[in-house]
Amino acid sequence: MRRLAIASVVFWGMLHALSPTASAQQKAPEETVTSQPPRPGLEVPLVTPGPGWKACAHCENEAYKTEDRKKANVDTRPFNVHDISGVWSGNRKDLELPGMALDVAAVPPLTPFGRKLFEDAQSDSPQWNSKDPENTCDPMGWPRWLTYNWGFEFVVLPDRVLQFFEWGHTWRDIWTDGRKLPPNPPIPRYLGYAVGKWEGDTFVVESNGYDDRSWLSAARAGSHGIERPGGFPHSDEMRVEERYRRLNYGLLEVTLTITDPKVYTTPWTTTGTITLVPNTEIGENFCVPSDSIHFDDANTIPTLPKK
Amino acid sequence: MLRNLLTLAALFLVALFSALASPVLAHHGNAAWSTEEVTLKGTLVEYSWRNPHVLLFWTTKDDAGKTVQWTGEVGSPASMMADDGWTKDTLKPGDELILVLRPAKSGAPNGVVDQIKRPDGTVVMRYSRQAGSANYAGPLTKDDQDRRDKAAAEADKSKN
Repeated sequence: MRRLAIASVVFWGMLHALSPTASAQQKAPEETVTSQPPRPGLEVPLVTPGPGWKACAHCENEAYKTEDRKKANVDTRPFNVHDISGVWSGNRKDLELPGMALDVAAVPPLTPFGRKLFEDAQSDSPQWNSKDPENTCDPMGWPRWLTYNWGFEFVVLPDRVLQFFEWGHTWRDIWTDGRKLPPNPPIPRYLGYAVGKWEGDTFVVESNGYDDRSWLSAARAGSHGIERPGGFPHSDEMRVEERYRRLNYGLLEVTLTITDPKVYTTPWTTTGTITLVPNTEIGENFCVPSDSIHFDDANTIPTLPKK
Repeated sequence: MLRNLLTLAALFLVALFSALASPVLAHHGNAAWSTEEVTLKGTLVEYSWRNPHVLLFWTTKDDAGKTVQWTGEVGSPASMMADDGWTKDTLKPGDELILVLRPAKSGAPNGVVDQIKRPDGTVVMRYSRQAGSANYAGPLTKDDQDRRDKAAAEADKSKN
């Protein structure tokens, strides 16, 4: 028991020594900051626009999302495997996750052309991802909108499935009326051209015709052989397949496969599970270019080392 | 003894990975910011309730008594609404605030604000998800889960 107590003390010492705030020098000592802040919970008032209105998917904290899921009996409620409608966001481990994370550890080897694009996408600053198209609210593109959306809603219509995204407040058409992908799309699109069909219990979406200016995901400095932050590129020949399967009322399994032989030597597959967030609505969460530029001017660019 | 050492090594690794886990920052990384928090008393000049992150502009007196205008960011409006129940009316110019923030490494009067209180001790913002995994953005611990489950149970009781 005594050994355990000693081990605990040593453990906390090590933990404290490694904490980013461990060596913080408080300029106002009367304001002591605890290192164990409370997590948000149901004691936080839930803000809605008013009676009859629901909070947006991003506007609910984890505790409220958990409550909503519990009240809807998401694990045991009967469901139709061919109905994927609803607001989807986060995963079981983190209901506040902004989207299904791209499995960057599984990135295939880049082609020489792809490597050049990847190197060129690097920031000119180690402190800031200066070339990220999101800085000026350029469209996130696909599949980056799947990996960063703060919630999306599937709406099923007779001839198509609409996928609405909270971040950017836009939508994607997935046509289910039997049409094929365009053989040579006349205009590249950030969200591509998408067709969907059911294969058993799985809704399969295939797409092409992408605008090559978007990124698949941001890339961290020091990862994948780049020194400064950047992003994973794709070409206009990229094809994307998603396979959506409803595991139960509250869980949607997604298998995302990116095939882009100009940039990646093999297909790149990510699998994730997205959670249903009942009792919420998709909010208006625009990326506003003038606001984003103002933000960078006010609190990003002033922090960069002077050249 | 060996078992104790192994236990310690395992605990150390857990602590190491906890400390190295990085927060989710949508628009920038952490490289520009100090990891050392400072606490400043300030008078709010502007409350910018906008994407991508809510910005606060305030004045504070430096050690020489000179007034300096600072700029600090917190989460997005939707995140602040979720985490602390903020709205467009939560703060207004003239509010006196005590701000815990991580300042820019460059020395510029800019920061990422981690916590805000009013002079009477009222907490306006608990630890924001901007504060990093060591403070907020990491996965829930067992204690967090227990606290949350207890709060949910209490909320259920009060509704019945």
